[in-house]
Amino acid sequence: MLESKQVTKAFGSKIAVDHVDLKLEAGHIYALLGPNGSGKTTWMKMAAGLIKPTGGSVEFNGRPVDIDSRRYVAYMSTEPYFYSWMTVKSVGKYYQDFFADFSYERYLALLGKLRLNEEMKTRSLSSGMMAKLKIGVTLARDAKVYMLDEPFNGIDLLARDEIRACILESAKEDKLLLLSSHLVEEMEAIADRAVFISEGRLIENVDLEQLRSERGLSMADRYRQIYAQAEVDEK
Amino acid sequence: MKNLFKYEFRKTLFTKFVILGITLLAQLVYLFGIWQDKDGTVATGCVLLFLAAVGGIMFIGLQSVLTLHRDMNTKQSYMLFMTPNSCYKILGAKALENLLSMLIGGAFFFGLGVLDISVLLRHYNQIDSIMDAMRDILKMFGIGFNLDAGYMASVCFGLLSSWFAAITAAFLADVISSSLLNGKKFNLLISFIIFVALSYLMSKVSGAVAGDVTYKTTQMVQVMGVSGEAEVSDVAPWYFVKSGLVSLAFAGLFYVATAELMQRKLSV
Repeated sequence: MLESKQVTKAFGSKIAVDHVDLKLEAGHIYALLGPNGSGKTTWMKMAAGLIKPTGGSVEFNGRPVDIDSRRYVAYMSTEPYFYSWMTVKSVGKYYQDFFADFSYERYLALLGKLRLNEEMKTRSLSSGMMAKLKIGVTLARDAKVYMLDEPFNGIDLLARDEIRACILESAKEDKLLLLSSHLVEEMEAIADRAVFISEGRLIENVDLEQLRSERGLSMADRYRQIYAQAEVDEK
Repeated sequence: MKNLFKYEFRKTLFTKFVILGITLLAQLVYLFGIWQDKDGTVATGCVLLFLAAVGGIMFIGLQSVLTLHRDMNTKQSYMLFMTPNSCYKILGAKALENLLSMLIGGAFFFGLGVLDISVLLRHYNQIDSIMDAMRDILKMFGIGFNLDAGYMASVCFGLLSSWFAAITAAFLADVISSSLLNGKKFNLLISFIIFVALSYLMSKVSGAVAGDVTYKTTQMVQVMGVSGEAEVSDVAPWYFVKSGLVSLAFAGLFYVATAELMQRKLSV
């Protein structure tokens, strides 16, 4: 469904994503893991069509991501991005105006679950509330691909449970969910596959069940193996 | 496109309210001066209204460049560029909103000006003859002074078109800065130089196509009861129309170049 072929992104002399070949299929929830600056966000932004690759390509259903693929790919950035004059209600109206797969009813239901009020102004939202709003408006789309960048950032434990429930509710056979996070344990409860990235390079794309049964490792164990080793190599 | 246009309008709404508020204040000063028969207050009101009109129209244009810059260089860019709209549509909505805002703003200030002048003419009966005398004095110094509706319309068309073309040149320079020059040293300075170069090129071509701005005629002049002939320099009637059309052609070129560059090279 979503495939990157030798995709590379350089910012000046710094290579953020380095010749990544990655194939992601529908019916899975992928955890995109890696330390800060490993290239997770850059890869996601390229898949969302927001950043142009320096080399290679990202394809959605066999075609390079373009304006048309934005109809089917729902991306949630880690940073707040709503216009400062918006209210929670006008954010929903905005998505309704631009995305045919957006359901305002589902948005209202998600707002209820996440305990957000329609009349709230986005500029007065706390970081936790803002994260909930981003999740709510993204998941109110009936997209084929959901890419959520750090969905649990700055969120307390109880709100995390609410968000996790909303994410799991969106997982269907014909949909692909890709979530990046530093909270490895949190992701273990959601994802069925993990993609490990380090210094812009793909390390591994593994089935978590297989990892547990064949190698006796949890996602956190594998994370420690990969990145602790990388730190030792660096030293 | 309709939705893009709607949100472009919403982004600039606050500025428009501020311009309207300042104009309302200037208008109150002007009307208060007429009501109280205070020439100084009327003059202050006139100056304020003129500044609100010129400054307002200029700022509407400048604001669209600032909005485009923000839409490409801050996180709010995702709101625009993650929607399934081509850069041609995104930029088109911005340019159209800007052009319409300037046209509506121009028509508003033009109407207000006509209204205020007619109030002034009613209040000061002798102003007509003062204007005629001023016109003759200016002619004596070789300066034409034409205020008929056709001429005013062509001036408005020429000025608005060239201002709109300057805004589209600024769009192009800004997109070059945010795409090709992104992360490079002296990025803003280079894009400003590009803007100046584009504006210079436009004025040169416009001048070559539209011809001389003025032409000379010999006219009868009567000043303080003494009449005679004077060589008067007037603005050529088609100058502003021709230069306006050239500006619009440049605006079209800049629009295509900008949208194509955004489509191919812009990362947000």
